[in-house]
Amino acid sequence: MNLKFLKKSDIVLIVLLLVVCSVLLLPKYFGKAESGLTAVIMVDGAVVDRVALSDVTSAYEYTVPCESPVKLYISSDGVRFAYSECPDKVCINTGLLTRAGDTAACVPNKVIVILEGAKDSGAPDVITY
Amino acid sequence: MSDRNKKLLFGAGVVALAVLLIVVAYLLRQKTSLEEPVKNTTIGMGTVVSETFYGKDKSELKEAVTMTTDLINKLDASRLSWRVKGSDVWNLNNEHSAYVDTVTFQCIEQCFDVSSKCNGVFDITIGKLSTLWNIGTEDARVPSEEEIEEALSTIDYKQIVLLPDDKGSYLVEIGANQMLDLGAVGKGLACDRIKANLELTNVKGAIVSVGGSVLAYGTNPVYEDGTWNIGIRDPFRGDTDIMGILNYGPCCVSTSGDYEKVLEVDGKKYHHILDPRTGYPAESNVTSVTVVADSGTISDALSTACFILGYSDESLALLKEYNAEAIFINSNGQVYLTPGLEGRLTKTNGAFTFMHDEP
Repeated sequence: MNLKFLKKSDIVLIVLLLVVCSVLLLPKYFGKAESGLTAVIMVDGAVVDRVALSDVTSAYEYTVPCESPVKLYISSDGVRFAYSECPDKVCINTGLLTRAGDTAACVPNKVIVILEGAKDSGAPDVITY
Repeated sequence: MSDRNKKLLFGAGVVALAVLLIVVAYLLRQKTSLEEPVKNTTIGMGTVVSETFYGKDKSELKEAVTMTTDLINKLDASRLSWRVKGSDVWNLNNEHSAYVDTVTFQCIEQCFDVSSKCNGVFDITIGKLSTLWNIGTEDARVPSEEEIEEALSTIDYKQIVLLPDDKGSYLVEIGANQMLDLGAVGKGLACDRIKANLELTNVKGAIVSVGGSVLAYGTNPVYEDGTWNIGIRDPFRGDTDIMGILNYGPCCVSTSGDYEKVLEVDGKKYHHILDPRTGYPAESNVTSVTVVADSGTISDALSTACFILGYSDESLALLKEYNAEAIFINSNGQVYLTPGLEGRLTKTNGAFTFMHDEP
């Protein structure tokens, strides 16, 4: 074979290079595919439960293990505070958490719910309110 | 060596170098993504505190979490809370003259300075009025006009006397019927204290929110230019929704909005930002103001003052005094930026419009 611009060995090297590149990039894409959301439930600074939303087949009410009755609504779409006997109801008014990093808290009962998971590339580091 | 072999060797060398570069670049990228930050979310100062610390030494990042939690709890219980007996503010409110911690002293000094630059639109002697309304608590109510008149007569920052001595004691005096409320600046002060403590460590970058008052510290390893992406709360939608993302370097960011703590009586809504001139929730031409400054105490104080003053020449002049920048959003979703933020706020919701007219 007598190609003018490319020699046989060049082609072999180029193919090899492409293979090496794709192998290196593979884990990056596979890693992202696994990113499900997990509701992390905390009481008084300690994690009491973790619920993977992908495992939730039908929505249910979750009773938080704390002194005052606090209930969450957990579905495959997200999690929200459903019931609390606190005076301000800030926790319930926060609504449904659906994105990684979303946080709701019942301050009087020291209950925090955080959605953990891989953030969207456009997600902010923090929110000012 | 034949000419052909030389060329082949050269070609192979170039390709090998390219592969090496790609591998190095990939490993570097892996390294930054492997350098997982240490995160923590907790409750402090009656609000949610979220922290993310970046750096090489994991144990030092964990220490930063403990340090931050302790600092916030101590700041609330020993310095700022008017409810906790024996705190600096409790002592001042009950004895009207008290020796306070240097942190409390400097905070009152900064607040006094802001008050003097905005004709008392921001005033920490507002305590009698804020406890009268109690918005955000279960005792919230609309007070009578007589009660408001009486509370208004006690508001005057000029009665605060700051007496530092050269032995490191800090004496503060307030008027006999006055009551301090540092609630408007407590979260920002916490950000300032966290920043001062981080400067003594090897923590390279941190993003902390104390109930929505934000400290962006050092460099963000996720981005080449080290900047931070700060979401701006959408004033018209849910608590976790944002209207845009502010891309900025190290700074403190605070937001005051009429959506925060609200009391609803007979269909009328009363928000928690009280105007010390009228005694009622401020009637502003904006629905939220976000302020970016070097200090959290200042960004907190200025966001309150600028909310009350609205998008106005007074607000812009006040911001200039502190080299601070701001985002004003009105009830029509129109957004006004100060010059230093031009091009740094990316809208994530098409319902908002950037405006460019002067106040």
